[in-house]
Amino acid sequence: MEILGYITLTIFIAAMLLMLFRKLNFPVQTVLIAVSLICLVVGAVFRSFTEGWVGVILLPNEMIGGIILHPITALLAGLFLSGALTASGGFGALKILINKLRKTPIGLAGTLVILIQLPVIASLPCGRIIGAALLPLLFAFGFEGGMGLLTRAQLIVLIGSFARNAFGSCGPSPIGGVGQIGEGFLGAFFPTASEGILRAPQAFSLMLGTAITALFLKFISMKLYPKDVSLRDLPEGGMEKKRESEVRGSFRGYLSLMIFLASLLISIFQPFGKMPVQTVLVAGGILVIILCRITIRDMMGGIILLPVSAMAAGFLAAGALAATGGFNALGNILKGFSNIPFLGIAGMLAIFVQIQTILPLSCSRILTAALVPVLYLFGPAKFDLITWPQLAIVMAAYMINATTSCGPSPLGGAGMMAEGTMRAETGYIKGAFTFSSMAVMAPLAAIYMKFLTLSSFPASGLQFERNVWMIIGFTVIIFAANAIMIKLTNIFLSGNVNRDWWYQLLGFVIPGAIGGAILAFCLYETAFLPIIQGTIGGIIAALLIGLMVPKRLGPTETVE
Amino acid sequence: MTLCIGVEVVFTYITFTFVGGLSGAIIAFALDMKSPKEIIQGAVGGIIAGFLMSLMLPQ
Amino acid sequence: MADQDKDQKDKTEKKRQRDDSAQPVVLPGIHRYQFFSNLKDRALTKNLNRLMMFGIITTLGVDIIKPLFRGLTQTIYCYECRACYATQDNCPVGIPFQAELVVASRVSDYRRFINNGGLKCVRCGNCTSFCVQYIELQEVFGQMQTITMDAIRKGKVPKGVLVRAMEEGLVGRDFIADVADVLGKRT
Repeated sequence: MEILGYITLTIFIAAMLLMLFRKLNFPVQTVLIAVSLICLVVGAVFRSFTEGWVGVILLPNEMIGGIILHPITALLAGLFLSGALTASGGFGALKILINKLRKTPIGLAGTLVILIQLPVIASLPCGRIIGAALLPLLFAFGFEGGMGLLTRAQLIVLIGSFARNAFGSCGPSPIGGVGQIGEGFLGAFFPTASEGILRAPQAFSLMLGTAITALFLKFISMKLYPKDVSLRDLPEGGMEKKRESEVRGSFRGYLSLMIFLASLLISIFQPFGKMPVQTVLVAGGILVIILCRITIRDMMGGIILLPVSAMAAGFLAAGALAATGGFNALGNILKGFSNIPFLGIAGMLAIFVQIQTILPLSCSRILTAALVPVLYLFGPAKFDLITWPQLAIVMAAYMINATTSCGPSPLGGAGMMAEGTMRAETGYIKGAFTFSSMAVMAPLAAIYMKFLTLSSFPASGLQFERNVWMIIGFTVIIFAANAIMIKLTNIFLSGNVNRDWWYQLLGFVIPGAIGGAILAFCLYETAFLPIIQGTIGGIIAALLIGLMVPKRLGPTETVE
Repeated sequence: MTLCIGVEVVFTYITFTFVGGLSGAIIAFALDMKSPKEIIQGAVGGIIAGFLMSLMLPQ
Repeated sequence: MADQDKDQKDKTEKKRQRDDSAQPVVLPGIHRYQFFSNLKDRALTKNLNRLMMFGIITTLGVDIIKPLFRGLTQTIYCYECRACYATQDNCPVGIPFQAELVVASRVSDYRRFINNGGLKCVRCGNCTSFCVQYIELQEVFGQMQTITMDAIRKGKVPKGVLVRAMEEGLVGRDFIADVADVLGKRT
């Protein structure tokens, strides 16, 4: 059976790579379903020899088991409610409120920063919910959206950094977030882990990761892909004209906005007892239908099938891989890395924490559900490669990397919603998103877990004051190193596609090495060999991530 | 040195507000809002966001 | 001649340029750009893509309707957040991955249910307290145990899976006699 896993894993990875490098020009859903069917057929052939017909007949059920209903239904419910909000004029009312907020002392800059960081504050179990609701609003800040407050370049940064924040916010969510998968496992040793041991490291690193994403989009992405966003800029003198023609809010709009906000708050704080977020959002939508007198057709207009069907197809492909042992093979390969002398355990873990950024799928739950048990087994529960505190640190770094991986995924990932909103080609945000996950978020989460979260738990006796300075020091170092790296790359970018791509790759490798070294330091403190091994692991991971960032995006480069 | 949970919680608030302010200022800069007033406004927005974020965390 | 070729090439490339109105709408008023599923490519593989979309919708339907008919409605609400894994030592029979059992119950995946210790569950309900959705896990597992045992009796579960489960102690006291009986008959 083991060989079957390697075969199906190879088929899957080959198909993904061919698709990413545009050798397979089919819609993502088609490729994923085709991969699932091929894996299923190969699996059926193998099983017919080992288990007979009885084993073959069970395969489809095992594949369907890969579908995770929650993000699909949460996305549909979020889109449903956002459709209602659009139809009832809720976004118009929101625009007026934001206009008022920007006239307060915090100004437009402060308002935008709060909006960008709102998804992590809300921490819904799927970032697509808040993304679907607020992305059209962010678009409205531009010339085409009606408000004309921001230029094209500002809008790209705003939408991109909001998306970075939103499509990682499923990690720290206490109501069914991805991070809870890891917290459940850590509960084996840390008694209060399931109450949210991973939430603070994830929220902390997401906050800074969002800022680095904004810098990357400004300095690198816009320079690398200058023609791949078709947003229109403000025409001469257009800004004033636009600003004057303010949107008028209706009572229906304010009412639907209040229902929307109440639904979000009820989903987060659950004041009426535990209930699924989908139920709250759909109930909110129905209330809007009744009170604001809009039609169901208006609401259905808000539903986007592409990310839903792509996500479902991704789950099916993952289900086919799981059924045929593909994920077991991946776990074996990763564990095998620790036997390579120049990688060791530290190098293997540096690659392991980045695996979901290397292979971003439509929903982080796909790989997380398969790989977190593997990581758990690396700990004292089975292989004893790392101790419990070390496991917690690796888990924090892995989890933030995992939960942010649906953002850069071109395979129906959530980031595609942002690319659609900014009218960019698919892959536009990939560089910025993968860079921030790899270079900033993973090492910061590890640092936070080691020097602050673990010191709150009885398992560790680390000194608190020293830890405070460690966190501040490392935060500044990581942040400054990456900001400098982005600026340096920006200086070297010349407009030559091939050369620029190599500079960008170098810009990935150096922060990747630093990230790997920091992770190794968190695990083994000042031990020399693990730090070198971690650095090598970080470089390998960064190379793999950097190589996947597209050189060019548009279908034609020569046509003006 | 063992500190009580209360101090750690306060430190979490401080860390989040500080980092929120830092990221807010950087985001404002990336949004081409480079005047000192706008950078400070961005930082204040970030501080508010960071504080709200830390309030949502488990104590 | 070379100029003509160049003109022809330019024309072809211009044709490939995207027209805003031809792009599918992705958010209200916003068009979508996708290099690997643009309209040109979709047209070439229209029926294939339709077939795949039909496949996706069918499997989603099966995933939801199947548990409804089997009386396992609660499994549809599982977030798969794995908060239940925190049960750890509170599980009297040491089942480590409860969420796996819920997913197995939803899709009637007997192999996954047995391999994760579903047949040794004593339905104490300790794991329920960790569920963020308050799914009554003991009820779900009890129902699935009945369905799995029916399937085992009807010969729908491969012999290898049962042998392995017996060897690794994955079958509880309630079912061990029945499973041994089925294995005896199939030998």
